[in-house]
Amino acid sequence: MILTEFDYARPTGLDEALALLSGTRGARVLAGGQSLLPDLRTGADSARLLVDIRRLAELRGTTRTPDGRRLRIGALTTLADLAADPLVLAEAPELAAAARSNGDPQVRNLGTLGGNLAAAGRPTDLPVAAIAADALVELAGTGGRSTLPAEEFAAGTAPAGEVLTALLVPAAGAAAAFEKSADRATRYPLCATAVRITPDGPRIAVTGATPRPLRLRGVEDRLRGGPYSTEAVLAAFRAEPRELFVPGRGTSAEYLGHLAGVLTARALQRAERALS
Amino acid sequence: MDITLNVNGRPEQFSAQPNELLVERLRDGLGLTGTKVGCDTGQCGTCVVRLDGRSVKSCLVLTASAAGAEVATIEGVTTRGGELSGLQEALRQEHGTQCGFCTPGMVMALGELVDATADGPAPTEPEIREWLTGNLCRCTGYHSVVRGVQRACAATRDEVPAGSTASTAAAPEV
Ligand SMILES: Cc1cc2nc3c(=O)[nH]c(=O)nc-3n(C[C@H](O)[C@H](O)[C@H](O)COP(=O)(O)OP(=O)(O)OC[C@H]3O[C@@H](n4cnc5c(N)ncnc54)[C@H](O)[C@@H]3O)c2cc1C
Ligand code: FES
Ligand code: FES
Repeated sequence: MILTEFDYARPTGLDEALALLSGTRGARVLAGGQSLLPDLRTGADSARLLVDIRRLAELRGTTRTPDGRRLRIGALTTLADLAADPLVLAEAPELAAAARSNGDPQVRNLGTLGGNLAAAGRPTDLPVAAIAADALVELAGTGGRSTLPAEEFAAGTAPAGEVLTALLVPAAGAAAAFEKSADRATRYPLCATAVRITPDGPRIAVTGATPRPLRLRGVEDRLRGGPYSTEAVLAAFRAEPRELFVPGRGTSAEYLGHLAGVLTARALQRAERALS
Repeated sequence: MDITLNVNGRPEQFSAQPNELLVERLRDGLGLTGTKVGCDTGQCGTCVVRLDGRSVKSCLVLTASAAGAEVATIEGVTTRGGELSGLQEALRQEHGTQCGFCTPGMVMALGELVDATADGPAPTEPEIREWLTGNLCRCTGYHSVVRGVQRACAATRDEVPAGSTASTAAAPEV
């Protein structure tokens, strides 16, 4: 039972949704509800008006951009559909794997790409995949459309009154991977990492072990040119400043920093195998 | 808010508060108490129903946002004459239910897996176990549930179920 009261609207067009969001104090976007509803239920979050965006057809579907170099994935794509989409599996395998690792089949049936990227409070799986892929978050507000690198989007809170409409993901082929150590009870990541091997070197993003989803440029620089042996990757992590890693879920910063290194090594080795 | 919902093939019309959860409507409004509430926060899976065919936790769905959808609950799985479905019968034969509190949610969740794989190969044991991540059971230890799913899938494919410990001499009843 949700004890707080709120109003509810289910607009059919994006403009209508944006008008509702900007016109009501405390208005919140409701997508799959798999974060927002339990948080409203426990009192961890609050809302005056829920704007249910699930009828907005323009937020659905996955397409290749006209130049063929990116995928445009609608924000309402469910985690289940993302994990099984042949285009995503082929061109952004770290994103598909992150979606697949999420919670359980029922959460994946309702939880959405946009909601997982926008959910604040606990580390979630998709932001690291989006950051390692160098993806762009597409937003719509009453002032028009804009895009923001996934890394910057993850650094701030989702802009109030705006709707995340899509994720633009560079098509990479197979050279990417996602690894996660999950909290046993909830499946939320204790630590998750995503990597992409590019001609300029590896891109590496970590969450759970760090205060927020972060791209680790220092580790990338140390590993440029390889090899991606476990020893080399762990050494590259040990060279990071100690305060980069934070304790969480009953584990120490030292443990999580080491775990991040181990998971990154596994991910890099898997991505490298996929490349060859 | 005035809401119309199809529940187990029957149109239902009622008025609901915006903060009402689907599980509350099913149990308290429509008297369909086969759907259980365990945690009320999305972790245990006792409240799983099918929403437009997909298994979902009805404690994580607002009644208002389910408006216009097809909802299937455990009450709609058993035939009118009280006959068990193939999956239910297989779970019974493999002792896949003990206290039974998790069973309606298990049947509704596993029903999606059985349906989704109906036209292809039977789901593997790891696939079945992965599919059970959202359903907590304090009694069975899950092994018998897994065997129940294998038995149900084998029965529709005319095979001997993998890993069955129940009498394999008798053909599985469907
Ligand atoms: C049992 C359980 C296990 C879980 N396990 C995991 C896990 O292992 N890993 C993990 O990462 N997550 C996990 N989750 C969280 C779940 O995956 C996320 O809640 C889900 O992906 C969020 O998507 P949603 O559509 O449900 O968002 P909602 O709950 O509807 O919204 C979440 C937040 O994002 C905002 N929002 C949603 N969509 C948009 C949009 N398009 N534009 C702007 N703002 C938006 C909402 O206002 C809200 O603040 C779990 C949840 C449960 C209940
Ligand atoms: S009551 Fe819904 S998941 Fe526990
Ligand atoms: S049979 Fe008792 S909880 Fe599963």
